[in-house]
Amino acid sequence: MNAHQARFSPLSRVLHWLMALMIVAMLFIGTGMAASVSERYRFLIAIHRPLGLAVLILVAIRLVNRLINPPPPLPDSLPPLQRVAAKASHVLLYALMFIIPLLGWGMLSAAPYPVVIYGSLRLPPILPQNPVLYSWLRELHGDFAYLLFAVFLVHMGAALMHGLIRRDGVFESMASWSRRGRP
Amino acid sequence: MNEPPDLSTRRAPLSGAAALVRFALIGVLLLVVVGAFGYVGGWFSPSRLTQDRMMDAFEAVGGDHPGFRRNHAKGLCVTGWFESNGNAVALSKAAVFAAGRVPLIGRFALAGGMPSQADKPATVRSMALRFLPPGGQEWRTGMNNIPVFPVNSAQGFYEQLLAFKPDPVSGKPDPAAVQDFLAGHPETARAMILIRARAVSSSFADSTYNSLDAFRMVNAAGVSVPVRWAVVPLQEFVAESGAQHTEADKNYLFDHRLLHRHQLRSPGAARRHRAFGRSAAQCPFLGLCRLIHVARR
Repeated sequence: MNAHQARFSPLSRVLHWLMALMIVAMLFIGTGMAASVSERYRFLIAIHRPLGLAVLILVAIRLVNRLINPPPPLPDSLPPLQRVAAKASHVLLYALMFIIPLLGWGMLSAAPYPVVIYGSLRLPPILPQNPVLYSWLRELHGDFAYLLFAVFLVHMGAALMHGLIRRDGVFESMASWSRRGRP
Repeated sequence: MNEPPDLSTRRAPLSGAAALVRFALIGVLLLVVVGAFGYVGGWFSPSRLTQDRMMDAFEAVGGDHPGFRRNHAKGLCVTGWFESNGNAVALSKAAVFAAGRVPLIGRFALAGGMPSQADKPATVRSMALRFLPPGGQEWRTGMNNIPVFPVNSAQGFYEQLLAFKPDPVSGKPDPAAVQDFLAGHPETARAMILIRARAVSSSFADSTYNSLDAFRMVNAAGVSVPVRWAVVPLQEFVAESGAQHTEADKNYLFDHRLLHRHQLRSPGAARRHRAFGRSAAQCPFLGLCRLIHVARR
């Protein structure tokens, strides 16, 4: 077996890096937005909504892709506890990538605010008007976003550990572009 | 499933000092990311105005009242409609100004964060409207019965809120705090002259409500004109009388005065103002109001 077979498929890699950029941007926009007033807030929320919808659409495609193109196996040298942690963190990442934009859509529906994507393009409400429900969803949207930021830090730290210290091909399975998967 | 070692792509894992250095590097990188995130989120900027700090200021001044709005806490909702006469189409391509009837929800309220405050003639009255044209759009406007707003930014509003906080013992704001605030906000000093000079009406129904902000109307040709909204009552203005000051009823504005007692007058021709339509509420109290724009002075 050659090393270059132990890689994610090209589509998986494109989706990963594209969504990594989008999600990190969303996390920064989100936390910045919640700490801004006036013009800056309006500018940030105008980006936050359509980008959130794009993440939701892409994560659905990505989940289907993951079932069709499963990830390469982790190296045997990885201890069982770290395997479990790796699996759990990815389940959590996918769950959060679905839940957070749905919470955003839901909270706007319950407020109710029109779910404006761009100009006159709007999404229909997915929940009935309910101010208490709105406040819960608004709270959860922010809390889960901070959780996603924490999981992202763990994910990035672990990836760099695999790449810089363990040097076991895991980092290259996602981060290489040449056919030979040079470390 | 062991793969044969491929020396051109695999190396032994690092250990010892070299690993430690790289661990530290990863740690530093993560700290930098957390730091950037924290900076953007305002963790290191205690003087940056955020939504939470604005809400904290309201609670510091008006107390904690769960279930009520933080500002304009005492109010009453109404339903009604806006009969757009299409006069604004030449000025604005906004859908809400097309001729026709638009349902709306409104709210009359008193400024301030205390839902149980007593009605007083000088307290700023507000009228908020939420237009619901077909197609799922929403237009919202908040207007007050003062000619101009005393501040020109959210930051100014925040500072004003804190500077005018009444002392719990005297019931009046600290004069030094007010002085400091006005020194830093000459626009407020100018605005307050206009606000103090206004004539106060006797009720919600015969007050004129003006928008806080100016807006730009842009028509289909791309020409833009600045406007402010006003809702002007069609019934006669009745000045608030001194007798109301001794009114025992803490809710006299809401209880008695909302029921207008005047015959509805037909609208006269507006001179400087252009009327865009009429609105009416299904409660008897409001009567007819004219939604107009005021040309820039």
